[in-house]
Amino acid sequence: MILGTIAYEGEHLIYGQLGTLALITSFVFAIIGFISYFSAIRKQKAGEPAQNWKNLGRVSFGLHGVSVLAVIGLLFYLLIARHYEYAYVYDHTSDSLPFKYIFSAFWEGQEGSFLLWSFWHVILGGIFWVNRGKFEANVLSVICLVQVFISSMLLGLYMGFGPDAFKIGINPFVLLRDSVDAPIFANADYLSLIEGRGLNALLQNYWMTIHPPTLFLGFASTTIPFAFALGGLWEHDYKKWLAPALPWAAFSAGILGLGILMGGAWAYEALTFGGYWAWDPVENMSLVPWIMLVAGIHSHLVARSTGHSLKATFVFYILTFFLVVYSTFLVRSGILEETSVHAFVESGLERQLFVFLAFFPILAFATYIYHYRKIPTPNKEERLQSREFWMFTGTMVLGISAILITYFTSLPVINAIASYFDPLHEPLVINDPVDHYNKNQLWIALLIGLLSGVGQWTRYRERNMKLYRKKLFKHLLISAAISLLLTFGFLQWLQATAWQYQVLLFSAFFAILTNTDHLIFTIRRNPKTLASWFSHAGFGIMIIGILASGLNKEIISTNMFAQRGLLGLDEETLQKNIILLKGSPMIMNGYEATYEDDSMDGTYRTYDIHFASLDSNSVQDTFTLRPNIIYNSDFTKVEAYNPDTRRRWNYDIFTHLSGLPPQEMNFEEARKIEDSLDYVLTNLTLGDTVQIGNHFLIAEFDTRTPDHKEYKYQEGDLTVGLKITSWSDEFTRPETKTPFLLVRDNALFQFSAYFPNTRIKIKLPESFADVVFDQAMAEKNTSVELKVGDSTRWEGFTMQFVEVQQPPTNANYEGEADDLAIGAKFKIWETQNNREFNLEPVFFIRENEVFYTADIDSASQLEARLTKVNPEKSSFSFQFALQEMKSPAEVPIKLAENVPRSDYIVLSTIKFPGINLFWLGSCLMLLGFFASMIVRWKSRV
Amino acid sequence: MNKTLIAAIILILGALSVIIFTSSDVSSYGTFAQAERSGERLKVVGQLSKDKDMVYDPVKDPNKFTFFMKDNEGREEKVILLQAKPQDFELSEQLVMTGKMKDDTFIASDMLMKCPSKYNDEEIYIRSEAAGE
Repeated sequence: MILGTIAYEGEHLIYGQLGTLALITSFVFAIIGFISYFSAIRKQKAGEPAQNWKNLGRVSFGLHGVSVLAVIGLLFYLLIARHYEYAYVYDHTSDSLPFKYIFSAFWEGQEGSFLLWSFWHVILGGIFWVNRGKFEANVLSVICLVQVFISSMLLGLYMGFGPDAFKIGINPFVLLRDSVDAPIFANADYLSLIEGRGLNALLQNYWMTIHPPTLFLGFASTTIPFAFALGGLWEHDYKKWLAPALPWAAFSAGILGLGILMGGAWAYEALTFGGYWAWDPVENMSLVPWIMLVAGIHSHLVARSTGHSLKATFVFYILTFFLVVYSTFLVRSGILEETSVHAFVESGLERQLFVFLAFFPILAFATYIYHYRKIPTPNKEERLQSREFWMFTGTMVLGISAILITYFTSLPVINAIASYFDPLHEPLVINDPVDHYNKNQLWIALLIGLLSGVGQWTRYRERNMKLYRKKLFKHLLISAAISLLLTFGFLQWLQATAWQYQVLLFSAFFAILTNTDHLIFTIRRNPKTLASWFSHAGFGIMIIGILASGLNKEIISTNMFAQRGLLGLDEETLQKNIILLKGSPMIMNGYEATYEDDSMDGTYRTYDIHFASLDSNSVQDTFTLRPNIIYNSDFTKVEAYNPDTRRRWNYDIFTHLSGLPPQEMNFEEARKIEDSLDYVLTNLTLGDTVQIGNHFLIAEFDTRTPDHKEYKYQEGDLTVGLKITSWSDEFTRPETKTPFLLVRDNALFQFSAYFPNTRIKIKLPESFADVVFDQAMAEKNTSVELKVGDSTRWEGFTMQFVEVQQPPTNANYEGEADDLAIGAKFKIWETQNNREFNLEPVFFIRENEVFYTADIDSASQLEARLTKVNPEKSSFSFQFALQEMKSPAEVPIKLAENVPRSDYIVLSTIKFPGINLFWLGSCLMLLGFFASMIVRWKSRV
Repeated sequence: MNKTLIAAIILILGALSVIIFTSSDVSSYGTFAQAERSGERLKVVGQLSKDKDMVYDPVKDPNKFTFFMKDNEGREEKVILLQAKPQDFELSEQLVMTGKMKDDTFIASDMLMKCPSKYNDEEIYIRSEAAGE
């Protein structure tokens, strides 16, 4: 390859150059912004004028924000315009990608998701920047510092060459030809030869458009309470930040929670694993910061009201931010590959991410420790009967939950570290993650349920316990008693054999009752309680939903009569797949299901599965579900299986395809199988029962327009089919199918027919055409336009158009519900033989396509066809044809035996009772945070 | 001592005891030999034996997929996975099976499959060949 400079055609390099410049300026101004705002804080603390530093900070942050927005704008433009010279555009878009998925393409890659994170920091910081409040310097100094690190992830500075080059960051504007070495780039016109790889099929849905921005806003918003805390430490102000930070913390918990919940909803709706939470490492790592944040909010509330738990609040918010960065580190480093089902693409940024990860906890905790003694603590410690004590206990429980989940999810990291020191170390892994996490977190949920009840009824700085005790216990005990009754009642339905689940259920009811009780008593005095009711009662409802949909989950797609004894398996190994043969109802657990039909639209193939409940008493419940699959562009692979769910208020029925015959998954496979079939040429005598091997066949001509999924009539088409009825000794029920030949534009097409019961395939060989059409060459035809009542004469026939028939009465016409059909009745008199007979051709429209049912008189071989309706002239167009052949007695066919079945699907169907309680409870919980945010916003000064 | 400190210590001890008591939930990746010896459920890491038969006949049983796998010690055994055959199974680079050993077969209820990553260069190379015709 000549190392000269090639003048490439069609490239738009200016955008990438501008973009790279903007990336550098965003990095630089983040640094200046941090230095300025930090200096402003120090000046303020020392009592000196800080306005100049603040102004410099404002300008810097403003320019930083503009740079970030410019980068995003440029990248969007390149994606929309499909400039494939850029690697990012090539990797994530394609010519055929619908516009609505451009957003998804934007954040499909690491560069895009970093930009999304950075974008939200700019927006959130922008609010402080615009408001110019008291805490502007505190918050923006920290945000700028965080942005320094995030911007550095997008710099794309390379030092040195080759694979070992030292690089800082990845650059979203890198050119394809600079990132990949391929011979095509020797071609100056390479751009016209390539097309983008496109978006992963699993990501082509609306969830990919809304889930990442919400989740990243959640992540970005955790920086705010952290910034208030750290900025506060720098300013030596330890309490004033509490009031303004509280609504921000509530907002963060609400949005981050919403983002996590969306992930669960996406998994439930679009993935086939059958659930909304799998304790997958990626899921866990987004949950853990949220748990820590909730702990922080509770200690924050206590600190605001009583001054206790102030130190804990700092710690919680620092840890929350740390966990967000840790989460991004784990996900982007690919270390979770072996324990997670999510796909990972290594970015090569591990070292940088590690620095980012280590920097903030070290900085924050060092600052915290430095200020430790100066942080005010109340003289007296919390009373055991006080609310601050119980809420503190709650925050500890949440903290422990977060630590446990983090520890077990980080096992791959621990393994990596241990292997570094001891090469013989055997990596540890959790055997059954779902079971493991459920067992642990059950206790956390139980404690939270109980504590949220007790916590509500205790009061801050409880000084009058002696007098209050009676009232407190009365409320708690009544709630406990009712909870016990409700638990017992619910257990009649819930399949909770383990006592742990039963106690958890009690705790959930307890949380709902105590909080409702408390709400009723205090709402008039203190309407703020509504927010906390939403969250705590919501939590309880959510737990009940989790128990119901988890413990009472039913696999419907199992055939109870299947022989399992051979493998000696235990109950755990539930078979969740069942096979459905097209058209054959199959009895499953509680329902009868039939795979009725399927249809193709581009690369989407949708299956219609009809369900009917097997309840003997009540009205039969019937419904149809339509799961679908998406092929890749050349139909050699199924890229995604998409489920379909039937939602009722008290349960969901969730179904999806787990498998298809190999010929249907990969059409190349289908071609291979077809090529491997051994078609044997035989002659069939028409009208007689012919035996071929084990099969019995009766054949007769069929001249109707074929009704085949892949065939559409065109003017000038000539078709002839053979209607074959077949059965065998083993399968005595006859099946009738019609293979046919099509002659169009002098080309011959064979349409074969498959008989599913006996598994034979029949097609008509070319010699069939010779036998039939040779004689059809002698066909004569004519076209006429007639009105009702008209007569015409042709070839020795007198044809009178007697009447129009609506609906048509021709027995050969098999009408369907939505057909628009019209028939014409002719009385025909054959002069030569003095015969009179009727012909009734039919013209119909089905699913927007035109069909004809011609009518032929076998004796004279006169065929009539109604070809057009002319409403404006009140006339009809007809075609008459005369086949002067004698039907051959024998026709050749080709028959193949033992054809592999392709008319089945493998289906999995699960019923989730009570799952709406989960969605209801979790939404209420998040609503509580947003309500709290609104309430606290008013009292933030 | 401070009540809150006591509460904190109790809870931390609780967490530690959880970690210790659930130590049976955690184990190292096993081999077929270990599975045979202990008779318990564990995870076995290995590679698909591409030269041996893979049988999935959904018409007979949609929940049974049989193939052969070699573990990290090099021992090859027959594996029955109680699920449908996943796509691109033949292309897998590494398999992690969860299950038990029964007689001479490993019965697995779960599988995690590692597939090769796409290679940019190859894609472009192939495309340019086609376009050049």
